[in-house]
This record gives sequence, C-alpha cells and structure tokens, in this order.
Amino acid sequence: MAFDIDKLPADKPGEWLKGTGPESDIVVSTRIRLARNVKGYPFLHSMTEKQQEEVNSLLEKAFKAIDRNRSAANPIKGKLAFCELKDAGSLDRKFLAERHLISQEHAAGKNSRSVAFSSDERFSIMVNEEDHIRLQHILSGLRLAEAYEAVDKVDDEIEKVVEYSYHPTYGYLTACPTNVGTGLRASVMLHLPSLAVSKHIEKVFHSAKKMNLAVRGLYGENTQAHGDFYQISNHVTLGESEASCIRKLSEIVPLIVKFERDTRKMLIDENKMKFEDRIYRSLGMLRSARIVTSEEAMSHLSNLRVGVFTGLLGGIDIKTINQLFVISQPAHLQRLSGGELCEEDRDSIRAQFLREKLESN
Amino acid sequence: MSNLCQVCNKRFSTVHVTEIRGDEKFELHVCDYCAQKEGIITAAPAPTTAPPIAKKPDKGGSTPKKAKILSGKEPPSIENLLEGISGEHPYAELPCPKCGMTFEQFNKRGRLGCAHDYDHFQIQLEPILHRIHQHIEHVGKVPKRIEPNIAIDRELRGLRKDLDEAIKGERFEEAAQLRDKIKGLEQDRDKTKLPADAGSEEKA
Repeated sequence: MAFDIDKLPADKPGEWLKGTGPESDIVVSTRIRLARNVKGYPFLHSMTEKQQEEVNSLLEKAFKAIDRNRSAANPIKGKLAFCELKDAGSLDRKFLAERHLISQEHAAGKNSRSVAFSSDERFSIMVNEEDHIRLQHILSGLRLAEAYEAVDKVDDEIEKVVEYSYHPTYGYLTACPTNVGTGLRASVMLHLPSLAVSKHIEKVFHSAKKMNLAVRGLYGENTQAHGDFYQISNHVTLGESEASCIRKLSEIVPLIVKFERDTRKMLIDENKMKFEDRIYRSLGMLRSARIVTSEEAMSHLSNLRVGVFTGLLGGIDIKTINQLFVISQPAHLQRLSGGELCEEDRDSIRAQFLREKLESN
Repeated sequence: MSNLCQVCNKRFSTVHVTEIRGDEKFELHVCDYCAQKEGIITAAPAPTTAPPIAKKPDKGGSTPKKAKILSGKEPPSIENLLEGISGEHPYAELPCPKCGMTFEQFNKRGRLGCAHDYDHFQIQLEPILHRIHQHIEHVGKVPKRIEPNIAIDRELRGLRKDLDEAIKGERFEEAAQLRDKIKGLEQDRDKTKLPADAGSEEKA
C-alpha cells in the first residue's frame, strides 16, 4: 500500500500549491468537500471495529469499481490509489496530511480507515474519518463553480455503487449536526500577508463571521495560519443549497483578494523601504541561517512570495518558492532526506535545502 | 407532551434559549408571541395578534425563568450549544432504539450515533440545528435514487393545490383533468417506490 504513497513526489507541490489557476497569487487553491455516510451502518464512533472494517472494505470495492469502469461523466483523471492508513507508517501518514490529501485527524487516527486519491492529487476520498466518506476536490486558484461541478459528478458516481444515508427533512446525514444537510464545506486557501501584517485581517475575520463564514489556518480546523495562509469556508450546511453556498463564496472571495492587493499597494506607498526590507531580511535569513524551524521557513517564504508578486524581488521564480514551502514541511523533508530525523536535524537540513535553492546566481 | 411557554404558560413553546453564566445553566422555552414581546427575538415582524392559546390545561404552572441570549457571533461549537440542555426533557433519558445512544452521551461527545438519532432526538436537536444553521430543513441536492419520487411528490402537491382551486372556481372539466393527472402520477410513483425508504433503517 505504501507503494502508492511512494509515487507522490516529495519535492514537488501537489495541486494545492501548484500556482496555476485564476488569481493564484493570492487564491492559492479552492477545495470542495462533501461528507456522506453509508446507509445501514451507525456513524463512525458508534461502529464496532468489525463494522468499520466492513465499511472500509465496502468502500474500497466501490472505489475500485469506479476506477475500473470510468464513465464519460467521471471527472477523475489519472489512476485512483487506495491506501489503508493502518498499514502506513507515521511518516507516510503525516506526508499525506502535508499534501492536503487527508486531514491531520485522519493521519493521527487509530481506527480502521483509508484514503483513495487520484494520481494528480486533485481528488481524495477519506474513509472513516469523522464520517464514512469525506470526498474532496482541490483545484489551484479560484475555481469554486468548476470544483463543485466536478465533485458533484464524483458524488453521483459513488452513489451508483453505495447507498447514502439521507433524510427527507435533514438531507445527507452526518455524525456531527454541523455538517448535516448538504454535507458541503467549500473553502478557498488565501495568502494574505499584507492583511496579516497590517492587522486588517481582523476586518476579514469580522466580515466572515457576519456572513456565516469560517476562517481557519493552513491545515484546516484548529490550525494556525502558518505562512499567512488562511482558509475561508462556509459553515452552514442546512437550509442553504450548494449553489447558494458556492455563489456566496464566489462573491466574497474577490473582495478579500482586492483588499489584500490594495493593502499591499498601500503599504508600499506608505513606506516602500520598510516593505522591501521585510522581504530582503527574509531572503538574507534563508540564504544564511544554519537552523530554520518549519514555522520560520513558512514565515520567511511568505515574505518572498509577496516580493515576487509585487515585483520587488527579482531573480527568484515563484515555482522555487512554492517548492520550498512544500519541502520545508517536516514529513516531506524527512522523505527527501531518506528517513526519520529528530527535530534538530530537521531544522538544520531544512536550512540547508533553503540555502541551496535560494543561492544567489 | 406539554411544552408550554414559560412566560405565559398558555401557548406551546417554539423558541428555546440557553444561557451559561459561570457555573450555572439557564434554559428558557417560550412561544413566538412572548419571544417577540420580551425582545428575545426580533428577526420576524412583531405579530399583530397573539397566536391561539393552547387548549391543554396548565399543569401547575412553573416559575418563568428569564435568560439572556448567548452572546457572541462565533460559529457555535457543538459543545457550546449542548451546554445547558438539561436532563429535564422527558425524552432525554431514552436511548435511541437502534444504536443505544442517549442524548446525554451526544452532549458529551458532540457526535450522533446513527441516522435514526435525527428522528429519535428530533425535539432536542431542532433548536441546536437552528442555532448552527438558522434553518432546520434541507434544501439542495437529493440523491439520484430518491430524486424521482421527490420530484413526483412536489408535482403532486402543486397539482392538488390546482385541483382545489379548480373545484372552488367551479371549473369542473379542468378539475377532472387534474384528477386524472394526479391519479396517473400516483401510479407512477408507486411503481418506482424504493423497497427501503430514506434514513430510517439501521443494522444494530
């Protein structure tokens, strides 16, 4: 099973940080997630070990059937890999979480669970995370409608082989009432360094709350906004249709993007020297330091990203910076170095990678 | 089951409010009219006439407890919402017949046990759903397996309404046509009816 994880390139970003797609300087990626449960089984935490294995097995067969019998409507490109997480080592599981293919909870879980993901890393389906099925589609840039359309089709494909738990009044039933109804979590990952440094990010949080939108960090719920990456998502799933949710986010996100762009301009106009200094200090640090923690790396790389997109930092490609974001993460780093490392070693190897890639020409 | 408004003790309660102050939990169950009057809810326009008094007699009136709305506009966590819903409710102790979960267990875990819980704990869940989503009814995607029947049901509702109006308007020929159409659709629906209906059957 680890064979499929091994095929994922540890030195290249997955779809979430590919850097293509509309507005991808600020809208890093779009993610649509659907929560579903299989009819006839209790929800996850009330299932016996045997029932969890049954659902796991049932869904593995279902996904393999979908993989084999590709209908024209199926938007999944590339092969679908299936991975039993009980069989995967701790490092592999963290690696999958860093690539946004599974959640941190799924990586850390102990129950019978798995994930199916497409080789282009755009689709992933978690089995037995909080619900039986968590179907996810990621696209680079701002592409909400496109992403929803695709995940909707995959949902239909799964439904051909699995009967969903559904209630005429409450919709798709989920273990937690916060997801019942559409089971939809639509989110965009935004890079908002100028809003963060100017503290205007508070206004974004405030407006988001008013509109029933949640703001989260880099790896989702209860995580920090490392590297100034923020995820904005809906949190209402009952009484609001999928189309309405997508439309609302599609209207709000461009306003936040504009706010970030305007704030960058404003900060540059106010004090260009200070703005540049922040960027070049980060560059200097990453080119020289011998020890760099992953938080430090994210923070400095975030400044370099801004530098590239505002044109103030020349000679460095955004692809290099995105790659560094990815390989600076602990599990990726260890993969590339050939095995598990203690924190101290990780920090010095990270520093080494950064120096090598950012070497002045 | 009598869930009378704790303010007037006459109408059925439809607005449920919980507050936590330090270690104390307060609950308030009021009818729409009193909720508006006491300023507990302001979203809907104030009723011009009071809704009808419930016919059931007051069973030794309870002292109305006043409580403020939980402040804060954070997307509520399930833990916040569950705090304060006490075991006074008559169904609170009864476990779900399918998975055995009690509402108190759900209280602690924040996760339901099975699909049937949504029916078994309907009364306790609806205020929670309302608090999270501001709605208690799904609008949106329907699984393809169930879709044909739902679409037919919607059409039938519309046609029956039209039939009523045709009869009232003494348009009997139209009414006869509508009646035939309704019969035809009902037959179609019964043909395509699924052997198991949504959301209620579970393996133990």
